[in-house]
Order: sequence, then C-alpha cells, then structure tokens
Amino acid sequence: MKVEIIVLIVYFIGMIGMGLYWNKKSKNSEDYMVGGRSMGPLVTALTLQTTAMSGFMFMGGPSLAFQFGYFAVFYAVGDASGGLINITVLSRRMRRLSQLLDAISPIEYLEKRYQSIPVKVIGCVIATFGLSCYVLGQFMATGKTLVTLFGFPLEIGLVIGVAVILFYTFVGGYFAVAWTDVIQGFIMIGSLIIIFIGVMIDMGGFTGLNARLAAIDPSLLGFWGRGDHYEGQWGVIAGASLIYFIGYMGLPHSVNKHMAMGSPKKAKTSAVYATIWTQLFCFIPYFLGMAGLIYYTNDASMLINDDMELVIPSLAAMKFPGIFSGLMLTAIMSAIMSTVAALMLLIATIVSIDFYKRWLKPDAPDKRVVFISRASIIVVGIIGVTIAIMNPPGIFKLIVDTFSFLGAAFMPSYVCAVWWKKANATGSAVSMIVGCLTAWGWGTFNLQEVTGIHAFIAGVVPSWICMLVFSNFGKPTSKEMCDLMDRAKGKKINVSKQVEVASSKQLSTESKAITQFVFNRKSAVLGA
Amino acid sequence: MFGLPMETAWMLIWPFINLTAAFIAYSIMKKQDEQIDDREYGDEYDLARFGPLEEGKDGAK
Repeated sequence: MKVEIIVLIVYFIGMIGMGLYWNKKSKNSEDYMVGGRSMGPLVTALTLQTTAMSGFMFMGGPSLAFQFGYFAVFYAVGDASGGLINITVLSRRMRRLSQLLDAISPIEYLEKRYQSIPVKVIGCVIATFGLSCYVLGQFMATGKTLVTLFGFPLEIGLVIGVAVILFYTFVGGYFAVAWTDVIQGFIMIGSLIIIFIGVMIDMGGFTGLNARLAAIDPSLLGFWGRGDHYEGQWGVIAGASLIYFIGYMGLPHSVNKHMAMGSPKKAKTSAVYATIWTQLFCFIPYFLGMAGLIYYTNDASMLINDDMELVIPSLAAMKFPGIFSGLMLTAIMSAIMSTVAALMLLIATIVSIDFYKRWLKPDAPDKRVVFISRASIIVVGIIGVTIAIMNPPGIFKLIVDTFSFLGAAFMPSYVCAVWWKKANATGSAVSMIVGCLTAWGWGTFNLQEVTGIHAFIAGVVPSWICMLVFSNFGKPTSKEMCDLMDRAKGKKINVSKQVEVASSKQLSTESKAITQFVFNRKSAVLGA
Repeated sequence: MFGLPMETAWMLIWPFINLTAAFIAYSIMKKQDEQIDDREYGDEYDLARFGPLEEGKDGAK
C-alpha cells in the first residue's frame, strides 16, 4: 500500500476517534453548538483560522498564483490581517452580547439583537444558501484530493471523503470540531512549511524563484497580473485585498467562534495566536502555486490531470513522494474538514435551533434538537455531493463569490450589532438583502470583467450604505437593548435587577432562560 | 528586493506589519481588560483585584 494512503487512513481514524470521544462529552445543545462557551485562546484562535482557511488555500489560491503570478498575493495580504481585524473588532463585545441575549447561533443572535423575526428569516435563508455553496466548494476540494491519491473517478472521491467528514462532524459537534481544528491547524502549517522549504531550496530562494518567473513572463512579477490582465482595475485590486481583510466579520461560521470563547478576556491572546499562525500559513500556498508554474513550464506532465487546482498535490507528489506527500494530503484534508465541519454544524444549528426549536417546536427536548441537527447535516451532505457530481464548479470562483455573498450580506449587521446602537431591524434587513443580491448578481453575470470592480466591493459598499440610511426608518432600537449594548462594552453600569428582569422579558421569547442563565451564573460564582 | 519590482516587493513586509499590529492590539486590549469585570461572562474571579465578595454588592448574594 502506498505510504500516502497509510498516512491518510491514520489521519481519518484519528479524527473520527476524536469525534467519538467528544460526542460523549457534549451533554446538551449549548455544548454541541458552541462548546458550552468554554474554548480557550489557543483553541479559539486555531478554530477561527482553520475554519477560515479552507480547501481554497490549497487549491483555489495556488491556481490563481499559477495563472497570474504575484497578483494573487493580494488575496494573501488581506487574509493575513483578517483574523486580527475580526477578533479585535468583534470578539469581546459579541461574546458578551451573545451571552446576554442567550444566543447560541449567529442568526439567533441577529434576531435577538435587532428584535425582529424578519431579520431572522432573511438571515436564515441567506446563511443556509451561502453556507451550502461554501460546503459545495469544500466537497469539490475533497473529491479532487482523493482523486490525486487513488486515481479513481471524482464521484467516488467525493462520496468517500464526504462520508468521513459527515461522520466525524455529526458524532462530535462543536467540541470535536474545535479540538480537531487545533490538531488540523498544526498539520496544515507543518506540512506546508516542510514542502515550502524543500521547494524554495530547489528554486534557489526567493531570488531564484523570481528570476525563473521573470524568464517565463516578466509580468508575473508585476502588480497587475500576468499579461497585465488587471491593469488599471483598482476595484479588483481593492476587492482582492479587502475581501479577506474585513470579510471574515460577515461570515456566520467565523463570527460563531466569538460566541464560543471561554471568556471575553481570551480574545487578546487569541488575536496573537491567530496572527502568528496566519502569517506562517497565508502566503506559502501562493508561492507554491508560482513554483508549480515553473516546474510545469519545464515539464508539463507534472500537473496531475492537467488541473491547475491540483498544483500543490502535484508538487508534493513530484518533489516529496512518500510520507511528506501523504502529510500534505492530510493537510489539505485538514483544511477542508475543519471548514466544512464548521459549516455543516452551523447549517445544522440554523435548521435545528432557529427553525425547529425556536419556531416550530419551542418545547422540544434537547435530545430531539440534537437529532434534527444531525439529520440536517446528512441531508446537506447528500445534496452537496449530488450537485458536485452532476455539475462540478471551479473552486476558486465558487469560494470567492460565496465569500463576497456572505460578507456583503452580514458584515454591516454583525459589526453594527455591537458598535452602533442606532442600527435597527430595518437597516439590517435591507442591508442583508441588497448586499447579498448585489454580490450574487456581480458574480453570476461576471460584472467584474466589465466594470473592473470586485464582487465583494460591489456588494459590501451598498450593504453598508443601506444599513446607515435605513436604520433611520422603522422601529428604533429599544432602551433595553441599548442598555445591553452598554453592558456588552464591558463597562459596569448601574441597572437594578428589576430593570434587568423587565428588559429581558421584553427582548425575546427566551426571556425566562436569559434571566435564569444570568442569575444562576452569578449564584454559581458565589457558590464556588 | 529578491528580484521583485518595488510595486510588489512591499507585499513581503506585510507579515511583519501584522505581527507588530497584533502585539500592539494585545497590549491595548490587556489594558482595557484590566478595567473590566467579566465574571458574568466566564472570566475567573480575580480575588486580588476585586477583593472578597460581599453581601449586597454586584455579583454577591
């Protein structure tokens, strides 16, 4: 048996074992969905970053570098700062406010913050659609990875890979996802650095790499991409940098991590861990994509299936056959699994908590909610595999378009939820609809090529304008919510217990749960 | 730098800018955290900073 296959099987068994172990530890829906709000800074940082860095980083990103050279690094520049921006802007306030609102899903959080059912329904529809597209991109990457290894058809690769992902996601929930993310984070970074060092030695360092690229085409080193493809298109350059620089604040599966943090004070350490990890990880795939172009120019047969999205697996197989190639494949699977597990878990949360428990059956027991959650994971998996087999999309375009769609829809709503008291349901609903539709239209009709403006910029700018303008209309933010937002800042304010109870009652149907939660928590502190 | 034109060479400095920014952010957030009582949100009770819990005080019986 090939060494790569043994390494990958050991990895799969390890991940499933962890899923089973953590399954025993999750006792209720809060454990399953947000890990009982007990994640430490390292786990928070790594789960945040590994979830953010998907199969895109090993396939979509390098393929762009393979095509356009240094232009692709603009995506890495934004990506390298995205985690820091996300944590510093949102983390602490969102952690506090989500607890005060007793929200365990990012959509439930929006509903309670904006005190609006329409916001919840719009959020659910956009999130379910966007996250499912994101899942589809990860499934494609899974199938391609296994095709690389076994050489069997994409369909079989998809079914096997997705079956493993589904199994470990639905047996473990958030605890499993968070802890396997840590292991996967180290596998991803370790494998990538090993391959990168080997390739750079072979290339003669950065200077050698750049000299060889210039020999192929000097414009590969330039600002505008190979053949100056994007010359003068500042809207594309800005979008390529900003999409990951600020876009993470609009991804429900990313902001969800803030809600699971053990305490708001873990945020500062998480920011440092996340930034260090990201600097090591973000740039390397793009350089490997460019190195792949050099090898490919010398020997066209090195590229598996002649598919430029397989440039990194091809490089690993060619330069480091055996255990390192196997490790690289596990790194790719790690990137995919850590993202797709979080996505599936979130879709499951939206279906089971937001739709089922909080709408259809408010009195449903925890056991039933977890069952619905797991069933929805399987359904989404089956639909995703079917679409991937019938009409396989390109990973780069699918992920960038979906990222633009989600970021444009949700970023103003999540940021304003904790930073702008005046932001209300009208502003949030209009912002979500306009943002996602504009980004979707831009991507679908390929307007970037016509206008020179990136889909993310095209979506997020009107989304922000709508939030700022339409928050002046409709029902203003209640006094009680403004008080909670003040508490989410972390400053102590003098609110009597009577006011706390009264405000909680008006805020949501879970008023009783909020009140019990807050006061039981205080009792627990005293009892300790 | 490394045979790159200046227009793209600046990208290679970016990781160092980010790391510096992260440590600056850490120190600012640390100072802010020291002013805030986050016991309600899962923070461990800091006896040295807040003193013993008293009857009638916020967070007490």
